Amino acid sequence: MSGQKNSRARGLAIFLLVLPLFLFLISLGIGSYGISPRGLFTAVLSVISPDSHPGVPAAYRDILLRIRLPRVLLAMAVGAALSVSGASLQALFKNPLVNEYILGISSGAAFGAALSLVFLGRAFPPQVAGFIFAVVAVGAVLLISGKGESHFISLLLTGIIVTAFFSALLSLVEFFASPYVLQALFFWLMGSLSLASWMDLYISLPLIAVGLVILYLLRWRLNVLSMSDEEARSLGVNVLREKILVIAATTLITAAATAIVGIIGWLGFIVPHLVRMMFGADNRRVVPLSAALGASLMMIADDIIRGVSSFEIPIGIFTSLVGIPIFLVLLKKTRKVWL
Amino acid sequence: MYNECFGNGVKNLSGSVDIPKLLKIFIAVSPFFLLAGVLTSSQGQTIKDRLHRTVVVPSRVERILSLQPEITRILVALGVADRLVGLDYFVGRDDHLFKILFPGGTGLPVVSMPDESVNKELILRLDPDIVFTSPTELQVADSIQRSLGIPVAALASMGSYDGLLEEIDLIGVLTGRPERASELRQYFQEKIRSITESIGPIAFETRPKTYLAFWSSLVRTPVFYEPVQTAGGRNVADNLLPARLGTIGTVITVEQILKWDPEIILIQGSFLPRERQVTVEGVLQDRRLGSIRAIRQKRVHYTLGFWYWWDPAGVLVEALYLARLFHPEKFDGLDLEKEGNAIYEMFYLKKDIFSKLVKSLDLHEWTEK
Repeated sequence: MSGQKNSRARGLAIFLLVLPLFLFLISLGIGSYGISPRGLFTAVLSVISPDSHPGVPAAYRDILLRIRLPRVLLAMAVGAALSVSGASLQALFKNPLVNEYILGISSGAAFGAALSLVFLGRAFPPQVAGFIFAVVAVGAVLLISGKGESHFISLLLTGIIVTAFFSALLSLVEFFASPYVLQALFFWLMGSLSLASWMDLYISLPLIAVGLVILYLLRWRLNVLSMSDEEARSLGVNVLREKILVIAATTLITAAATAIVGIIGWLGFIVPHLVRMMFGADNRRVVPLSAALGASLMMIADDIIRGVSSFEIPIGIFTSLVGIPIFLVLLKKTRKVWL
Repeated sequence: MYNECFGNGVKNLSGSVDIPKLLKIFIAVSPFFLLAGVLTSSQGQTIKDRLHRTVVVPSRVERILSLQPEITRILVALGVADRLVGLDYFVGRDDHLFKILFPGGTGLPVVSMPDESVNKELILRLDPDIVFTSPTELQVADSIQRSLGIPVAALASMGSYDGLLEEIDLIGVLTGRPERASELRQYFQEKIRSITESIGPIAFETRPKTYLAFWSSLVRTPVFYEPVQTAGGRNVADNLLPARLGTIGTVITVEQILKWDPEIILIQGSFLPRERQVTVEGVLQDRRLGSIRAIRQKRVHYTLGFWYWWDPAGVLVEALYLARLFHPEKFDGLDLEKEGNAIYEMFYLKKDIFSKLVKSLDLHEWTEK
């Protein structure tokens, strides 16, 4: 029986790891323009060899290369980043209620973007300022909470306080912003992939890739770090150094993702739980499978937005609408949240 | 927070009724009810506002607190700006036109803020006979009236010419300036008639397909915009539903713009160049849009659009500008600067306002001959 169960879990894991690739291809075919699969295929061929398919409309190539491809890639990257970040922090803090924004990243990024939009105008991309202030917020949390190895409760509390502080600063900037700038800020805060471009990917993808690789390499140490500090030390792990490394990597990927697409709620909370419910709490599995499932859920949510409604609904709403029912079904079925 | 307007374009220029549009308008207008007329009694005047509230207003309105920019502009146009005792934050702080129209207004107390909060103590101190608010701020009118006992009317044109003219008439009656209101109404109607007559009958298919990028974003657009229709154009987003009830705005995808393949793209330019998040240059250089006709033919322009409803003179000048843009052959020899200044002078009794506006907003393309 146990062997059967194991092979089923292995099959499911392989399916989840391959799912993003299928969804990637399907997502390229979804959009309001209505290009047939054949049209898409010829558009791809015309990109590879422009002379072989001269009749392909220029709009097909623009939609495929400049609109859908960067958008789908960004959805994948952001979904993977937020989910892995949530999984790593939940393991690190040994707390199932932690999410990827717990250390003040979202409010820091929002404040940075607001500051940039209001005072620097179009000359400076709000994404860059958003990233800088997300890192500043986490830096402030680490600095204020001190270096003690067993002060993670203090770290969480400081995170909450720094979040509140940056939220207040954001409100202050909003208060003085002109309504024209305020509109651009609200649009960013809602979280959206609607204006995704290659430039967004150039900015965010290298940072997300570096952070994901670091967390993937650290995945077995997350298992050790989820024990008590004494146990971890007895296994030869430099607890403080490893914890700082995990926080730095999660900050990098969450800040890079949030700065580009705004605040996407629930993903980093739900996805790691879903993975643990299905595969257990071993972070060697949780980290890569969270990346795959997060990327998939994000693409599904974005596909629904692009394929169903005539207008763009903020994707954060859909990640919740898609993720929460799945979470509840699994919760009811397995009756366990934290293993 | 911003107030989007609402249009009533039930009939197209050929006179046929557009059923989907009727449905769209019904859905969008559902939170509101049509402005009712004014009933006069010995107690004062009774009006019904856009929130279907019955408001009793003193027979003589001497002290006015306007938290609705469109009403503030109408008060200036009716020549009763000196009765204003306070303003909303937008007109007081961010409306570049208002500073030109009524320089004295910049010294008036600002009572409301972007988060829809109002300073009730300040309102009491200002002691207005009536307060005007926007119907999109659903709670504000009742909140002020209930706690301070001051009559509050929530009024707006909702983005339709008819709504705007009704509003001008109503404010004219309330302020004892019905003749001036009537004069403005006739002038407005005459100008619109003149534009549509100059264009002549035009088939729907031959109207230039126009996409409007409003409210600081490439993908936010109005689902109805009457000046485009008056000017003989076709708003490509006309068949969409608004994203929020009671507004005329929606958010679409970049891909949808490519699908529409508009011949002209209009970007909202009613604010200072340094505050623009979307620019003509930026849109022309956006490689995602490269296959669109408007980009290939470099037909991307600024238009006025609206924040916090309309400026009645601005609507007329915009319709005239768009008519020339869409059908240049029919407006050969039009001196838009001269016409624009005349329109603004009719409403605000000041010379060269349009020239100043063109200068401050860097809309020089408008006045090129």
